Amino acid sequence: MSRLGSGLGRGAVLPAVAYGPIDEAWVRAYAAAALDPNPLHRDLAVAQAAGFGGLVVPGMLLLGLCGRAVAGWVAAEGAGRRVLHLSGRFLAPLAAPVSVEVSGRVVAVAAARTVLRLTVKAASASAPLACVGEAWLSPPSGGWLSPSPGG
Amino acid sequence: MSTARRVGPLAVRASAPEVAALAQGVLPGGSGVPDILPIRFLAHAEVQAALAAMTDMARHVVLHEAQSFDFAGEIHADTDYKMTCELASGNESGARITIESVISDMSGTIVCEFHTTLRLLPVAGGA
Repeated sequence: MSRLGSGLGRGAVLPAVAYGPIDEAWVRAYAAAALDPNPLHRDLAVAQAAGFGGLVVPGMLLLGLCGRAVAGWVAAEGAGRRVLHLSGRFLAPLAAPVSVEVSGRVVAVAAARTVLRLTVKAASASAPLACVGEAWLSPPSGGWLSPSPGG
Repeated sequence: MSTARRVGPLAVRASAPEVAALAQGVLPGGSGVPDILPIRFLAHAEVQAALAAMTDMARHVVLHEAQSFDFAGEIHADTDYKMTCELASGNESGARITIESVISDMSGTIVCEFHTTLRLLPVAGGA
């Protein structure tokens, strides 16, 4: 059975976090700070020519918001966990302006890591899922991942 | 046809104001070092040149399809790092470019490995 709260036990459903609206100014500020040269995030004419209704919200901005949500959940728990892994698959490009919600659920708890499943969806009920991802957290006050052999 | 390129090691660094701008770009009012900071290093001219050499930008736009970061240490502002990137393209799963990147501190200790998948979309009316 899932439960909602600040704990990170297996099955815990974490409080969803809403962000936005992400407008053109937000997208442009992100793209400039990230040095993202992709014209889909900077040039409205290019975005529209590619079939989007506005500047495309960078997937990395969505993953960055996932990181913020995770940081908030970790801080609420107060156990000093580290983020060992953060990943996302960007399923449906979102065009600005759009509001999004980041949700999280604890899907695995092991000695070395706690695994959160993350989803990002637009506020519109009819909008498709924008991003699914994972965050791996260290145990409380735990260490880092070991680099891959030969990495 | 598949192609691959290796870039680096490259010197990468983000100043404190640059990190702060990224934190606020992710979320207005945000602070700290965003987990996604390493993606900023892919803007290095040599990485972009390699990407450009592998992509016909007159015919395509690039969509970021997937991204992962594995952290073996903290990444700090105002600190020098080295980054190597392995870029690969192929048609096995559609028009995509993957980038496997490794960031190490100046002693050679790996602090982050990250994997980027870009999808190439044909531009309407492209030549």
